[in-house]
Formats: sequence, structure tokens, C-alpha cells
Amino acid sequence: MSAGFTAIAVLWRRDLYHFVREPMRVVASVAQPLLFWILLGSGFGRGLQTAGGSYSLFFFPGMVLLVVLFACIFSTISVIEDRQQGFLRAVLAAPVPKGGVVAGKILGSATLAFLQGLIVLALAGVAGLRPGAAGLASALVALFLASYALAGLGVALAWRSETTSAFHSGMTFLLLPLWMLSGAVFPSAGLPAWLAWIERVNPMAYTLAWLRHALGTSATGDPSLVPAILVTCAFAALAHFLAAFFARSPALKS
Amino acid sequence: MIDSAVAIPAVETRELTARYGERTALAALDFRVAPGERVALLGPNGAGKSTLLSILATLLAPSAGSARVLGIDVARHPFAARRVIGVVFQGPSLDRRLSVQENLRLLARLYGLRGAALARAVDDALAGVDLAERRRDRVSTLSGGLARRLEVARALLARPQLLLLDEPTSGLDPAARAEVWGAIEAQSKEGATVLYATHLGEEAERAHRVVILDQGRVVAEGTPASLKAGVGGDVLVVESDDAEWLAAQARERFAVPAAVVEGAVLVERERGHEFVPTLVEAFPGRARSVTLRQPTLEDVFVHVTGKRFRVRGST
Repeated sequence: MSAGFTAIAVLWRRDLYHFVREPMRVVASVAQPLLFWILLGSGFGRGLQTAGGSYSLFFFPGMVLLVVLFACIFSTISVIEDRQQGFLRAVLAAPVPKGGVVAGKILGSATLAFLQGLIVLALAGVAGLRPGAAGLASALVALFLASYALAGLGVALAWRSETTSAFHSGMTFLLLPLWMLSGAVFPSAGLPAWLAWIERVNPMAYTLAWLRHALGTSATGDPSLVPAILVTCAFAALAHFLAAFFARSPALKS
Repeated sequence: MIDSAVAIPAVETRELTARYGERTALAALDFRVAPGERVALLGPNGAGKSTLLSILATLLAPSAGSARVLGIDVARHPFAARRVIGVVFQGPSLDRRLSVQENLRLLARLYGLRGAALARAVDDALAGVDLAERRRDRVSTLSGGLARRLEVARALLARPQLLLLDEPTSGLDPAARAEVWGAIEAQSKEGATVLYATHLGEEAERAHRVVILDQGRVVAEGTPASLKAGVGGDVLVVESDDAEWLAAQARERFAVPAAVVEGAVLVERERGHEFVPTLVEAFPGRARSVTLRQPTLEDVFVHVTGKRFRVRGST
């Protein structure tokens, strides 16, 4: 058990260490969310008004989720790099359980994604949101679980991907539609029936709903808070087990 | 030599079998290494060397049979097994973006080392491969030989009783090879059991005992000297424009083992020096050059497997 926690701690620290050692990555991770917000938020905001208020407010939680999503795609690529470098082999030959290695990789990527999401969340005030202490705390938990879930999916896919480009396109193909159909871009109310159905089974829609509840930007047609929390937790757990399951077989040869 | 009947073998496999789909990589292998022994696994690519080492390192599950390291069944108790072995993989396994000592510290933590014990293990491992002066340098700045020595240092961190090395000097120039071997032999002299895979005869010469593998089977084993003594005397290498014809003629006229390997005719013959003029005079103008040499362990492989060297002809 303690060997498992050691593996988690060691690999988590290593991911953060790599991150802060690469100035380009740090700069990009701060600049990218800002750019997204300025371009998308203000651009759409002019033309579109939703029932609840301005579009930039409506879009804000979705943008946070999008930043987390991209951060997870980029950070979980490290699984493939570790394998290609051979480093993963040395870790797997050490006396630590594979579950700890997988959890460490997920947690490392999730933490980086969470921090990037946090940067955007810090702009909530600038965007005109006043979530209050409880709302903010709730948003942080939602943000972390979303990061963990997406990082889990990333690690699962990366474990089985031979190249970074295959992984990259796989993740984008899988996650971007889920994000678009989560209610992040357009309100759920008044959707065609088939789109509404997709939203109902899309876990990201629930995560987004949680974020909206926490930030006080709930739109009509969003899932209510309790199912949003439950589904998000289940999403994170499922992603974790998926990664652990995929990692049961030996990692592909480099 | 330590009495292997009394001591627990450092490595012991029983009918160890590994299959990749249709292909059999290891065919019911029975194999032992005594404690303190330095053993080379010699064979061409695909002979099963890496598969055997991967199973012993607990990274690959056997299809059938069992493997034990220092009495520990690797399939049943992989954790316990990992604590007593150190592995140097065929390719690199370092974090190139971290420094030399950061790599070692990180891995040492995974082996459960902490605080002063960790610092001592890292210092000892660095000293063991003579890398202490480069401890703060990034791995990406190390030369091939130094990086390889660091791999050996990483394998030594937890003071393993058994070192498994898969082609430890692949891709290195002769000077770097010597460096790496210096580090490995130092460990061996301190009592560690060393099992290494190689496809180079000269590298297998460094072992107490050589085990020759072909298609997942042990085809010969013994000390380097005894194995080479099994080859029929000397080896003549004849370069010729028509090597196939010359080999066929040599077999027919002199009843000697002769085969074409990489464009040259290889002939096994006792008292080879006496045979050189005979051969040259028998086929005037056919030989561009004739080289006489002692058999190598690679010749032993050819001799025992019958591959290439005795493809056709002689029995």
C-alpha cells in the first residue's frame, strides 16, 4: 500500500517538476486560457444574448472546461514520451504496484490541468461572476474532478497509443464533440430531441452543470446539482478504472 | 565456484515457455545460474534472450513453466523478486530531462529508500560507475557511454543480488564499451550474480559461463574456452568472387565443414595453417584472400546450430 503511495507521490512530483522547468509550457498555459477568453468570450458576446444574461457569462464555465480538456490532452502525452524514452520500463520494474504508477500519472496530469483551469477561474471576477466562498469551493472541487476524469481518459488512451500523433487525434476526436455537446457552447433548452439525448448521457454535460451551479450561471435545461455531482464523481472514477484496466497489459513497445 | 547444489540458485527456470501468438520465443527452457556467477546469454536476434530477461525482470508473464530468482517465483511474487534484481534494459530507460542524481533519487524512492539511506545509495551507485563528478549534469548532455554507465548505476541502487543486463553495450564505441564493462565487472567481483544477453561473441568472452540460445532453446553451454575447443580446430575465412562454388568444391574434395557467411567461405579445420596452402593450390586464382584465425564464440554458435556454417554438406 505504502509503495503505491510512494509511486503516486514520486510520479506526481516529477510531472510538476518537468512543468516548471519548461518556461514555454508555463507561459503557454497561462496565455492560452487568456487568449481563449478574450477571443471567444468577447467575440461571441457581442452577437449573442442568452435568456440568462450575456453570452460571455454563459460561455465562461464551458471555457474553463475547454482549457482543462486541452491541458489534459497535452499533459497525458507524457505517458507516451515516458514509454518512448524507456523511463516507464524502469518504473514498472521497480517494486511498486502498477496501480500506483497509473494513479501517479493521472494525478500529475490532472494537477497541471487543474492549475490551468484555476487561472481561468481566477478571471471569474473580471468576467462579472460573484460565486461567493461556497460557490467557489464547489467550483474548485468540480474543476479538480473534471481534470481527474479527463486526465484518466488521457492516460488510458495514451497507454495504448503507439505515437503521440495517434493519441492526439484520438483524444481530440473523442473529447471535443463531448465538450461541444455538453451545453458549453449553446444552451440546452430548446435543443432538437436527438441532441438533447446526447447531452443527457454525456458526463461532461453534468460536470459543466456543476460548474454552472457553483458559479451561479445555471441555464434552463441544465441537470440539477445532485445528479451533476454524482455523475461527475462517477465519471472520474470510471476514467480511473479505465486507465488502470488499459494499463494491465504491458505498455506497447517503443 | 560456489556449489550450486547447496546454495539457492540465483536464477532457475523450469520448462519456461513464452509464446507471442504463433511464435515460440522460449521453448520449455531449463536453465540455472549459480550465485556469484557471471553468465552470458549468446544468440542472434530472436533467440529468446530478451524474452528470458523480461520474464526474470517480472515485466513479461511466462506462457508456461516457472522462473525463480534467488528462490522467488517471479510470476507469483513479482514485488519480492523486483527487490533483489537490478535491470539494465536494451534501450535507454532514463529521464533525459532530469539530472544524473535526480534520476537516481527518483528511482531510489521507488525502491523504498529515504533520507540518509537514499543519499548513501545514490552516492555509492555513482561511485560504483565512476560518475560522481557528473551528478548535476542533465542526462541529455551525457555521452552514450556515460548514459549507459548511469543505467548500470540505476540498476545498482537497491544493491541487487542479481543483475540482469540486456545488451548492455549496444550502440557504443569500443572505448565506451570498455567503460561499461569495467562497471559491470566491478560489481561482479563484489559478489553480485550477473546475467547478460549479447549477440557479440567477444562480449560473451567476459562471462564465466556462456549459454548459447537458438529459437528459445539452449543449444550449448560451457566456459568460453571449452565451447571454443569444441569447434574443429581453426577457422579459415576465404574471400572469393564465387564463394558458393568454392565452398561446394572444398566440401567435396576435402570433406571439411565449409559454408558461405556474409559473402566469404568459412572453413573449420584442425591445424588450419597447414591447410591454407593446400586450399589455395587446389583452387588457383579463386581466393582473393585467406585469413586464418582461432574460433570465436560466434563460430561456436554456427558450429552447434548448424546454421549458415553447416547449411549444406558436411556431417
